[in-house]
Amino acid sequence: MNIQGPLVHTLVIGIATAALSGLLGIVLAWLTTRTALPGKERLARLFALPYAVPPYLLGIAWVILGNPQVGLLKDWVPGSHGIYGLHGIIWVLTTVCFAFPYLELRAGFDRLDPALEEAARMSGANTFKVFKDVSFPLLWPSLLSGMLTAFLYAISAFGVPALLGAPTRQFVLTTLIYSKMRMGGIDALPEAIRISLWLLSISVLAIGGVALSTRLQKRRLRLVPIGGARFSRPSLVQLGIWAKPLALVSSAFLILTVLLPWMALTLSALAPVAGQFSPSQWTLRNILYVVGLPDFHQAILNSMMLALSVSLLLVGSAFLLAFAAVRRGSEIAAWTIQALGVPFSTPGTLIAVFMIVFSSAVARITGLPVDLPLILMFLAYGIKYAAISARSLTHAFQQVHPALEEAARISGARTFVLLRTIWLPLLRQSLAAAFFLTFLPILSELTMSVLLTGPGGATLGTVLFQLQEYADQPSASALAWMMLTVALVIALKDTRRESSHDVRT
Amino acid sequence: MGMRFLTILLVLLATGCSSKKPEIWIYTSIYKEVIAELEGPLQDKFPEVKIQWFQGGSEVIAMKTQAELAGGGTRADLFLTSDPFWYIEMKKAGHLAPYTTQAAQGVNPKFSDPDHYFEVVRIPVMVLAYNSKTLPSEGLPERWTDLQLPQWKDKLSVANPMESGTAFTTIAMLSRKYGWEYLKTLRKHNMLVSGGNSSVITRIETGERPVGIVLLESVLKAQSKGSPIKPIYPLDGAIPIPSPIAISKSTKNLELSRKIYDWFFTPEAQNALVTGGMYSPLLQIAHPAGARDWKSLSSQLFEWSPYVAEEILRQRDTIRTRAHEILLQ
Repeated sequence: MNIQGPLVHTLVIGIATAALSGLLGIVLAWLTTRTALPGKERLARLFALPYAVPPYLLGIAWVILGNPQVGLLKDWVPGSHGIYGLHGIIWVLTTVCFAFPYLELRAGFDRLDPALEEAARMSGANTFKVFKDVSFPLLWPSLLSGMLTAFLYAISAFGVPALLGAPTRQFVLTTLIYSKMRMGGIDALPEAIRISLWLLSISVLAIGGVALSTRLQKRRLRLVPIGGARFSRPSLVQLGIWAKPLALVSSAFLILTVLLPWMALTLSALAPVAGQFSPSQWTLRNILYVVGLPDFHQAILNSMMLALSVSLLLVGSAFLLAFAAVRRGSEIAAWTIQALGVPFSTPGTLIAVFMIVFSSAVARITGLPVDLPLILMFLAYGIKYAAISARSLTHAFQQVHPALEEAARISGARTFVLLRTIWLPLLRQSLAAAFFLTFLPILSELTMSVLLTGPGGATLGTVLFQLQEYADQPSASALAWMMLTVALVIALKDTRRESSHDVRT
Repeated sequence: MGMRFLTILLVLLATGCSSKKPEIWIYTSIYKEVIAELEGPLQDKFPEVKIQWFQGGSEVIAMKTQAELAGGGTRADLFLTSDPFWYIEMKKAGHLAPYTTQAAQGVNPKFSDPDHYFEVVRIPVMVLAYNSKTLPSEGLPERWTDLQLPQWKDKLSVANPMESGTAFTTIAMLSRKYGWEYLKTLRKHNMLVSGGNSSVITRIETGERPVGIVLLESVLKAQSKGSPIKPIYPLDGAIPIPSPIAISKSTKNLELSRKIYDWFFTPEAQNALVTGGMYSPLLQIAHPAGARDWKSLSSQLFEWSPYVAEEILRQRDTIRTRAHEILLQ
């Protein structure tokens, strides 16, 4: 099997998704922080929601909406393949991935001292010029970092490319690795590793490139730290006649990225049989079936516990790691943070297989039952998703002027006190964003979970997989619908708390 | 929360260490509902044993087992999955323990291993299926070869043979009988090749692809929920996927494993397995409800024997490459 096609597809998907995510991220972050856009608080909360949908389910929702034969919106999707193909993969991944630059930039705008923008405006610069010459150069590292995370996420995505790419016979590296491992028999592992070395090289190149360009830019502009202790509130850009159209466009965007997939899942969850959407036939049977599954309650408990403990652990250690790297200049910490990008862009299947090899070796040698499903999943999730919080918190630290820390240090504060009284409040919004971005994918993780599960180890991901594989699409949609609705509530609550802290330090 | 989680982990670890009952691990692709039927009776039969099930798709179990073996050894005592070729490979690699048993006496030897490293314990079959709501009952395909007719352009789908073991076996058997030209025609008709058997069912139900090549058990299951899907037993033969049971070489409880192995051939276990929509290899066991009886089905089955299995396994890489070139490029 030649690797060229999948390699090219992977790159195209990664680059396009990162570019689109960056564009959407910066526009929406600017609109919701620096303008007087009507209803912007509510919009700001809702924009990040597609991220709360497990991408695989988002893929299913889009198949229901956009498949060229019987899709609900088939007449609205251009082209003869409907949603199938690279464009569909890029679209669906973008609706998920733009949350990375978006949330990082929102936190960035929040920390950016508006006095700088104000000064430019008073010197006669117009809105665009202020953005181009003041805000943008200062936020560039955040944007780049968010885009890099989006890129890594997109090249290592599996569910969406598998669902939307196969009908047009377009495969990517992860689907290739997946089929190798599933069907390769006893000799599959080396070949799967060989292919994933391509993924690894791409991610190392991308991580290295971004690190280099950020460093160069820092040298050129000599203004790494910005904001921090802020004295002024931003004066909001009045949109004038543009206010209404922009609000409309934003709402349309929300309908497209959140409402439509949610409706597709709702319809599917209510259908007695896949594809029978007429209201007269609606049934709660699927939802009741899922709720009554013996594994369901265990799955909720396991998934919540795992997602909470892993993301708390990751965000907490990322906070310390980023502090060590940025504020204490620790090379080891800085390298660790970069290195975490590697497991993040490695397919989950491969990570899970390594976990099993490793843990059964340890179990064999030490006699300890370390190969228990919950322990394995805890470790696997931790390894896979550590990069998200480490990367975004590093940029948060870099962006804030250490004046306060220095003042505290001069007054004799020790590291722990510094972290607790200075940095924790300063970076609150970044910490919340990092938690949000880590918690949600773990809550519904599927690829690694199906391999690592076992007696007592059901998770929402494994139950979902069971339903999709062995029950039917309506039941899978029912669980998806429930998870989505809960995730939406969590996301809404979380961001609401965040925005209520809008009055800053 | 973190502390509580840790405590629970520790408790789990402790209980894991302290359980004294012998454990038997069964790695299986049998459906959860069927396991629920088997679990009670099996545990009643062997009260002194703690029976642990690891359930997953056949491919997932192969992956997990391979990874465990790479780490020094698998925890599995028994395997019951659906991919017959994996068992031949496992046998050749020395990971299975041979066992000749009276219990499997009634099993047709053409489905089993001549050296008794594994025995077929259930027989899923691949058939055609269609959406009876969107397609008229006249003019349906009656044979595999009918799928080459132009009216089935844009109507067909099958699971991805690169991801699903049953789809691979099907494609291998079809190409063996009708040549690669046959698959080229299906490709020309834009047959959709993606996902697993459940995806094929969904595409039939939604009408995205109203005809599919799919496991009979998936059709029967969908029907039981009121789906308008109906099976077509091709006149040129359904395709059997003889699914084995085998004992792991590394089992620490060989005698117990053997007893449980035998138990899977008892009428009690066989009747439960059949509720999963597969046929029993034992003639005295009734066929799955709603399916055609074994006698009339078996007279038309695609040829299967240890020799055929060996041959397909030998050519597996070629078959895979060809199938990929023809169907997926």
